[in-house]
Amino acid sequence: MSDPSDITELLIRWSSGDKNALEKLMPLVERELHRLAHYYMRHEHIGHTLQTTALINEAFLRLVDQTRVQWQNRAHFFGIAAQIMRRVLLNYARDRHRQKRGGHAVQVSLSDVAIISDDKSAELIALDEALERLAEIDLRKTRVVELRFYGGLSVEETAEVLGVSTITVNRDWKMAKAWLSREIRNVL
Amino acid sequence: MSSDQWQRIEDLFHAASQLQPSDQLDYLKRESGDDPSLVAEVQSLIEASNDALLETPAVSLGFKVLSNISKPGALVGRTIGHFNVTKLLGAGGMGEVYLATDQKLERQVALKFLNRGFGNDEWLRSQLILEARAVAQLENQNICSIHGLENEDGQDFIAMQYVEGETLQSRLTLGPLSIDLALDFAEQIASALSAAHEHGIVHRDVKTQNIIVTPDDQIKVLDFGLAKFVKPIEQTQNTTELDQTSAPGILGTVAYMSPEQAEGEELDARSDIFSFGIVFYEMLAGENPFLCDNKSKTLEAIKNDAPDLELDLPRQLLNILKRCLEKNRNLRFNDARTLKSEIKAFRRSREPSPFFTWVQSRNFKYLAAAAAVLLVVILASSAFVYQKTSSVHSIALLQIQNRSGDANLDYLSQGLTRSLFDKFSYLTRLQVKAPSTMPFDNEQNVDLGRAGRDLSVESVLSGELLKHDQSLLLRLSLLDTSNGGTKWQEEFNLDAANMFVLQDDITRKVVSSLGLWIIGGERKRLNKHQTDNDEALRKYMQGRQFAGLKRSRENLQKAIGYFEQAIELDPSFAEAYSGLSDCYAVMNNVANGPIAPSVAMAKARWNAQQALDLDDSLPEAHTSLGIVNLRFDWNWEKAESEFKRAIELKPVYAPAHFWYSNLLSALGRNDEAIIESTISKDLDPYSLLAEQNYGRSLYYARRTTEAQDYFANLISQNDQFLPFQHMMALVQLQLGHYQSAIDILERMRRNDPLYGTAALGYAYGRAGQPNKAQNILRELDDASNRDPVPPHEKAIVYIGMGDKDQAFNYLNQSLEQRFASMAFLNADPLYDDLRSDVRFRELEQRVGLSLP
Repeated sequence: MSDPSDITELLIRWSSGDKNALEKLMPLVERELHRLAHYYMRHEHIGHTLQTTALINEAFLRLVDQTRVQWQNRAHFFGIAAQIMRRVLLNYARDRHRQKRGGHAVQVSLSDVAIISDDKSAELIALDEALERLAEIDLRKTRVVELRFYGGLSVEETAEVLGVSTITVNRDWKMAKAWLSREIRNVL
Repeated sequence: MSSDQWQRIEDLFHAASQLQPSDQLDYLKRESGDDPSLVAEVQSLIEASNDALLETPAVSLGFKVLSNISKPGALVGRTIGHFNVTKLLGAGGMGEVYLATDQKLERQVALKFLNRGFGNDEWLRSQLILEARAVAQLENQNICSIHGLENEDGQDFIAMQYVEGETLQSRLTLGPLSIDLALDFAEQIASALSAAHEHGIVHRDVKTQNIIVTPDDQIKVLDFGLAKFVKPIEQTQNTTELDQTSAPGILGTVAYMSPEQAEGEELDARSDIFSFGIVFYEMLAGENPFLCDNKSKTLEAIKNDAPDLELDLPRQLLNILKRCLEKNRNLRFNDARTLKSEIKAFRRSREPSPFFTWVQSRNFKYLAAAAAVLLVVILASSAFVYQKTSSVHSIALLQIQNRSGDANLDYLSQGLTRSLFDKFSYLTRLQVKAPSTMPFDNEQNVDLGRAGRDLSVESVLSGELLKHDQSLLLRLSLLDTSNGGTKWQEEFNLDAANMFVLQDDITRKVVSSLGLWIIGGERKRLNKHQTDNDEALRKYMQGRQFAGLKRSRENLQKAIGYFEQAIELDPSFAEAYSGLSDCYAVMNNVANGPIAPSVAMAKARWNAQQALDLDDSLPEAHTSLGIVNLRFDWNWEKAESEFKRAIELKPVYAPAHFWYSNLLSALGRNDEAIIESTISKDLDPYSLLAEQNYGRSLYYARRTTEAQDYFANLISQNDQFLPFQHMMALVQLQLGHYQSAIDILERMRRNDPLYGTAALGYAYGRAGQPNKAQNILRELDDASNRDPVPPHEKAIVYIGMGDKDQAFNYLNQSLEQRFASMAFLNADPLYDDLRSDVRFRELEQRVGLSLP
């Protein structure tokens, strides 16, 4: 396993704007999420409910030396986790979509029962593209959507991560939802 | 869009959303300054805001996806159960394989994670556990063993032996292997498959990617039986576009399928044989015989196209490949065990023959008394030295071809071949092979290249007799098999030539062309002539020629005539007596002659003794006496010492090994018998009788399915030679396939009514056709009015009919008349039914075969 202090260091550097640190950080966080996902899916299987936010938090607690980080670092960690989720879902949806169209064999294997329906896949792909466009207009709203939708954070947690008021998060969320919905309607 | 505009839209959106829908339009018109596009923009947002999008966070979905996918190498650095994953070894159709440390047992293991987990499918899981357990019990050194099936963190994986090495696929990227290495690998793979097949496990996915080659060239076959449980992902997708793909992973799997697998039929061991054939082919030729640029074409080729077997490889090897790659699985090897023994036999035929080891042992004779074990070690190392040094040369002496247009000169071409062989065999640093028949190519020319390859020799000496302007010429050429060049060529005029001078002249020239020199003791033997009478020598050559043809009454009587003439011309011509002895020794069965055994054997013995009295160092004479002791006296010790003496005098004398193998079979020393029959076959590689003899030694050893495969292969190359058919019929009887034995024997008797009569009667009896068996008994009685018929022939028919009393009655008669077949009382499976009877033990005692 990677040295946790490494991850902590990377997280601090990313929080202070080091883009290289983010590149190194993403796969490490993803691996931990992957592991936790495997672990908790097995328990959900026998009746537990998956507390996804708690799961990201657990990853944070496991990977990061808590004595050395501030709350901003935690926010950044959650931001990274949300971005990872966003990308994982997009890749999955794309693979699924390609497969349906009869594309080439995919690197990942899929269980026999689809986790995500075809409609949902198409929606996820359209959503991602719309989010790209939204980011050009209003980056903060994109972040709110990422944290709340992909990261599963509550309004309060999102406000805390982004360092804004809950009112702002609510307003951003409402506007982004409406705008994205309309954009997707045009596509789907 | 400017941020001001965006801000404006957002403000209007939030404000209007607070209002009743009916008031929204007026509000927006008023606030926007009657800007219709702005109004429409905000209205569309308000309308869309009622959509359910984003209501449920996607994070749990994301986790579900995460738990189901594996990125290559994602598990490196993780601890799963008691395994520390350290490295990604590979990723394939089934899933990923990691190197890990088993913390409990402190050993390295390979973990194979299955793409498709089992989820709730406990049945599937339990099936795989059963299979894994079965494979775990195989314990074959060429099978990668499975430690167990594990489940941790919701992941199914197989823990197995970690083998360091590369896949055969990657090894073959460097090009094809040498024949010897390919054979070595092939035998190991066949050994793995054989162990699995014997436990009912079919691999189903034999391919170069599943075979690991360790740094010391040991083979480990992976993934036994797993293919049944784990669908490679390409099989889970059924799209037409995929059929056109040339993705290597997908082609890699279909390119090793058997035709029945491509058709989606039930599979058995023979499917593995086919896939093995492709792997074997690829090792030898460097490419997969069916691989095309896409999946559907490849599958078509597997189903319909004959593989290209026009490869520059020995005939037996091509036959093995062909039998693996038959489209119809009934024509393939039945199982990997037979396949393995075929490969083994072929490998053995390429090695320096065991007789050579024996030759070497003469140099170490004084050690024999010291310690047998030590001797074996030294023999092994001396054979090794032999392979490594270049001072020993090897030559194949092909039969000189009679192209004079005069068939009466056949004796001369064959006799010259024989005497040159004798000369060469005295040279201790020359390993000589002299096939008694020839490898012909399609145009009936002697195929020198093939001979060189088949015989694994450095040089091939070939020759022909030619008539030119009324002169008889002998043209000889010495071919270098390494480059196909001619080392030496010369024409000799035979009209006035003295045979002895000619032979000495040729020997000297060949020896110097090979870069050898004749040393003192050798010169003495080379210059020694059995007769000084040129005419006697020619008669002797003619006698040997007829004796060497098919053993028929006519040929043997002609041979006897010539030997007698030779003796008349030179009464001290020892070899001629030996020739006479050999003829009489085989004249006591229905097919060969009308002489009663006692008479034939008396003559055989007298002539053999005569030859020995004249020349005690004549291997032919010792062999003749050995035959008499084996076939008539049933004096096993004496027979063995005579054969051994003959082999000691002339290790390359094939008949000595041939008859010694018969003796060993009779005594139940089957392993030794098979070695001797192999040597005899090696020394005389195209001899049909030697091939038959080898198969018979398998049959006597009760290695019946091997014998079946062996004779099936021989018959596929030559369906005219009746002894092969006869042996095949006996093998079928032993396997309980009475009808197929009857079919073969009835067909045979249409060609030669004297052959296989007793076996057919036996088969009728066994198949429940007593009337036909009775007819055979009558036929044998009729025949005995003309010639003596060995009584045991009738005994065999009675055994088939279940009449033991009559069987013993006739066996006793045969024994009293001392028919040679009685020597094989214990070896012959036809007598198996009688063995429990006390009367059989009496027979054994009288033949001297029962244990003291």
